Amino acid sequence: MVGGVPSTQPFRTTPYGDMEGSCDGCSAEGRGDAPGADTIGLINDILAAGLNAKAIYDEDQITVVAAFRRNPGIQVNSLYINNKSNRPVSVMSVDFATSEWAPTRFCLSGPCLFSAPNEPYQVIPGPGTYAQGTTVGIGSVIYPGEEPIGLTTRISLVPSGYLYNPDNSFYWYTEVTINVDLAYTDTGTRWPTISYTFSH
Amino acid sequence: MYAKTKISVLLVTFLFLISSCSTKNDRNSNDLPGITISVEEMNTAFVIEDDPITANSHENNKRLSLVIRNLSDKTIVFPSDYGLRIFEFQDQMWNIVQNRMGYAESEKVLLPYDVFPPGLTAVAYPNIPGLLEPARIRIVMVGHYENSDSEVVGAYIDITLK
Repeated sequence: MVGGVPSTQPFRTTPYGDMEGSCDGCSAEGRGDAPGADTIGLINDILAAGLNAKAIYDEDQITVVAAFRRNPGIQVNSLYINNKSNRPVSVMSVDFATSEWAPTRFCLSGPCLFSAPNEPYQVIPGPGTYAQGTTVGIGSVIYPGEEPIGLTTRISLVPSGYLYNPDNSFYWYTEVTINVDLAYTDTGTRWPTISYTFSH
Repeated sequence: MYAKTKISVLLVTFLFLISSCSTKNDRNSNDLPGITISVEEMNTAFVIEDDPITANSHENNKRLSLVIRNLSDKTIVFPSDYGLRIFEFQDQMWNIVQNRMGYAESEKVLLPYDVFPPGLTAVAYPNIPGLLEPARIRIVMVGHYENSDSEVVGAYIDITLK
């Protein structure tokens, strides 16, 4: 069954309060965007998990926050998607593109090497906090939640499934752009592509 | 009498040559190198849509988001790269064009529309080095019905790349 609403909550549905930094050495890049209270709380959760957070899309119905590490480049770990609409949403595509010369990591077996394929690539959005209803190649379903709180679902982007960059690590980068395509699960109606560029 | 026969033979030969040339051109204009399914058989099991919502720029070496919708009542399976190939129409022939996009190493599954309306989204990065004028490109995807490798299905979409 794809698109059904499970009886259990996927992540958390409690209202989010004021943001307080809770992670040593982490930075909430969303701070400068004056996101809504819900988003601030979501970012707080990610900070508490030891990751950095950036709200890459924040609208009435949908908020998308990217969780990442700096090491010293960037490693994009997952998306946290808060769905305040009353309809399920699917992650249809997540892809990355780097600036022309940015080297990425190349792992086959044994230690990882630095390489520079510099090619954009499409990842497999993981099943996130749900395992049910998810098949490889099918967009991960983000279940609906009641306004104004919504449900938040974590969509793992690691492993990416892309041989040349399994953990979405970009070293000594200048720019890394993440593109996310969403659609309503019940009708297939798309959102405009969410596109955000991390700069050094 | 002999002259009339000679003229008739020449006329028939001329017409035959003309028709042969025409057939050759038609075949060249439809042949897609490396694609086993004919163009006439495409766009029946599934279709590729140039997603208007994502506002594709149609620029060379830029992201191109494509929506794949299943028209059949069977699940369609694609190889990891969606069986996606890009061709440029040049000199009355289709020539392969580089797709810079990399893909995750797993098959892609396209469920019937009534089971999963969003279908699939494939992203391409068509790259024609030194492109100066708009080019007509054809994007082709080839897969097969689930549990039936021999039932090959395909679709294409033509786009003008700027």
